[in-house]
Amino acid sequence: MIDEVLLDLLHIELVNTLVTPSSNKSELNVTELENVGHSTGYRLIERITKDSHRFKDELDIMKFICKDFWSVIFKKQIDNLRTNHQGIYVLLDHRFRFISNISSSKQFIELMPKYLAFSCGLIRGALGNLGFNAIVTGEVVKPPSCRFQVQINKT
Amino acid sequence: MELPTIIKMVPSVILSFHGLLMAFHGDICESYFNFFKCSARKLQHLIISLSNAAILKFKSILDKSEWDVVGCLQFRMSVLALVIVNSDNYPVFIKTRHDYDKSKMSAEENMNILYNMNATLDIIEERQGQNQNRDPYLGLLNQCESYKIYGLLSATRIKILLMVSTNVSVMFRDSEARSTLKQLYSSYIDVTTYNPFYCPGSEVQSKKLEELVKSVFGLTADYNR
Repeated sequence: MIDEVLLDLLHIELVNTLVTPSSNKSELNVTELENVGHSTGYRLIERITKDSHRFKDELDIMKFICKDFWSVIFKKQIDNLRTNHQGIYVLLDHRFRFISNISSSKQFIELMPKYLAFSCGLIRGALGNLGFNAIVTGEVVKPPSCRFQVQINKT
Repeated sequence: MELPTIIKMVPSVILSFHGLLMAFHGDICESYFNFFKCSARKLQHLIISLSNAAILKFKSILDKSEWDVVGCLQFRMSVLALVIVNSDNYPVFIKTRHDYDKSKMSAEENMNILYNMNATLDIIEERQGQNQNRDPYLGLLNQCESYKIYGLLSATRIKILLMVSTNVSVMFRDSEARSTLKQLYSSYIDVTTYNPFYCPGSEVQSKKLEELVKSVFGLTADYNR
């Protein structure tokens, strides 16, 4: 078992290195970090699903991501999954690991979104490899609680 | 040389003898004997001539009681072609017996085989929509008088097709096809996920996979799972 702290430290460095201020001062450019997450998720899901059965449908896949996929990375499951059954899923994590290390008050709330980009990329990459084109956005609701919205594009 | 003296000789021989005794209980031994046409005397010499490492390996094969060495060998000798197709239906790995031994298969036959493999992808597409059986191993997909095609479809829609000739007079067991396909799948995942230089969607080039495929075609004597 690999120590969890390694991922935390690596992630902090990833954010420090890859997130650059964009031309618009108030916004940050997280595209690169998101892409790193995407290729990681793409490869990771391949390994995790190695011994599992094929998925029944979209919801089955989302459940797998909330349970197995999330546990492999964060050692906990997503706390709440909601869907409108039309391709939009809301994943709620009451204690998101990358945020819980920073603060549980609103002190650094404007700095927090960049700590979600990597995880958004992970979800997008995993869905990508399973055949779904998705848009994933993350937001900090009330630290350390986070919400990820997944919008699956039907093609 | 008498058997008791052999046993006294080296501990490794005792080890292998133990393996053989265990095998006597299973049906492996019978088929094993038939295959090598070994008399008991010949077998003694066989034990002595085996190196230490070989004996250990031999034992490990025998220990897997459900693992039929002979069946596996015969199965692998009759493999005609292997194709790995990725999730976008792009063929990332193709090998036929033609690539190894041009004398065993003509170029037209080779084309015909690849054509049949291509046609089998449609059957997989059909199976993909079915929800009853979601095991990655699909079993027998396509069959005619000269060949059988077995397939595997993973959760990430990677397809692996294995074509086996039916000319050899052996009843192929499903389990051999299953274990071979699983082995190939696992090796493919290692290549595509652990190799940092592999770009998803491109052709697979890997010595490890090549080695495994060679053994699948029965060209190297490695039956480890």
